Amino acid sequence: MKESSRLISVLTIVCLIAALAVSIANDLTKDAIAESREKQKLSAVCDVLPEGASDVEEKILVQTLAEGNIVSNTYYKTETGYAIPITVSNGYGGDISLMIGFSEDVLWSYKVLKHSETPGLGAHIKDSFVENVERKPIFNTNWAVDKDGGDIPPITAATISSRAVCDAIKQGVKILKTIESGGVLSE
Amino acid sequence: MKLFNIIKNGIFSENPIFRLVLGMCPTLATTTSIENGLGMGVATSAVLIASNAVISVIRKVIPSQVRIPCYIVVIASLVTVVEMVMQAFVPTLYDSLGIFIPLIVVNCIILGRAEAFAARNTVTDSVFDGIGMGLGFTLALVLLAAVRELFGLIAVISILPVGGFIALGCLLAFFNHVGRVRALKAGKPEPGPLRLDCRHCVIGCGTTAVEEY
Repeated sequence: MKESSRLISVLTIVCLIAALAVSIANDLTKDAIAESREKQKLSAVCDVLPEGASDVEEKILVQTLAEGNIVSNTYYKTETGYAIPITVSNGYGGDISLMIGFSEDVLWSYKVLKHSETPGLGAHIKDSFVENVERKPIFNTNWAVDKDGGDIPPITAATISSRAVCDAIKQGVKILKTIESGGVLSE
Repeated sequence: MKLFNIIKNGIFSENPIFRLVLGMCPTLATTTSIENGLGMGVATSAVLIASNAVISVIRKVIPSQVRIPCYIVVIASLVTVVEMVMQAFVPTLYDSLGIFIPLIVVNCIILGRAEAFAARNTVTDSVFDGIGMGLGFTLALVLLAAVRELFGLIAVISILPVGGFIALGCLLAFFNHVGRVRALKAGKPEPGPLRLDCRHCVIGCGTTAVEEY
């Protein structure tokens, strides 16, 4: 009894000290992490639009849905088009954050800001899958994988990741429509 | 001189990848480019040096029954700290290594050195063991990544996971061969696998030990 209480107290103390150290490190790096995320976001805006995207303006679209809920989306307006950050939660490994660039009437490109997909499979949403969707017309494309009756060939063996990206694009298109029609979402 | 020997030991005679054959998952997964291999090596080294130091400091107050959970807590906390630091200051490297950073927690080199070295040696020795092992791991990763990238120019297969196994197998065979030739020249018996055979096992499963090499 005495022995086991000694073991438990040692483990507890070790865990408490470790937790304290991690929380201190978290406090110290929090701001730097947020800052570098923000920087990455802005450089992603330029990456997903045609060359010469300048004067990036950050805007917020506030929508009132039919049920009375208020939704706000940040988006970026530049000379060459719009870039819209979207996060979906139905990836294979959790949330996927994308920056999607729309220029005139095509989806110019997109960039993955954050993901936890399987390396070598779903993680191809970062590279090879981009070619399957970029430069496609925004409104004349059915943004779904071909298994679901859409126009997009998915990554082999990673349909769930591909589907999540398509869902994100669909959301982006919806927001783009709202922005272009003056900012009122009718749903 | 002793400290120098500890470092040399980590790089050559007990190289974590080519001699101890530990930590194969991150080795194969992150050596698709020299940059990733180097990043993984440096991140692992940082965790290894810090965990060796901390574990060596607390080695006398930790009861042996709960030492493994304590080591894991120490290692996991250090990995979390390294992860946050990388995310803050080298976000591109953090993105390309992705899932393999949290997996440093279960890298057997780190727990292995904690158990085999830091738990029995002084803080200074343990830190130097961490430096040596970290350097050995980093150099091995860079070498493997360099071979894969070089052959990747000729055939893409070298960059693919398959190529990792082939390249690692060839390098292991090469280093074993070098070790053999050097031992034969010096008139010593052929070196067997390092401390991984029955002669050095402490589990004592009852089977008779293999013959001397």
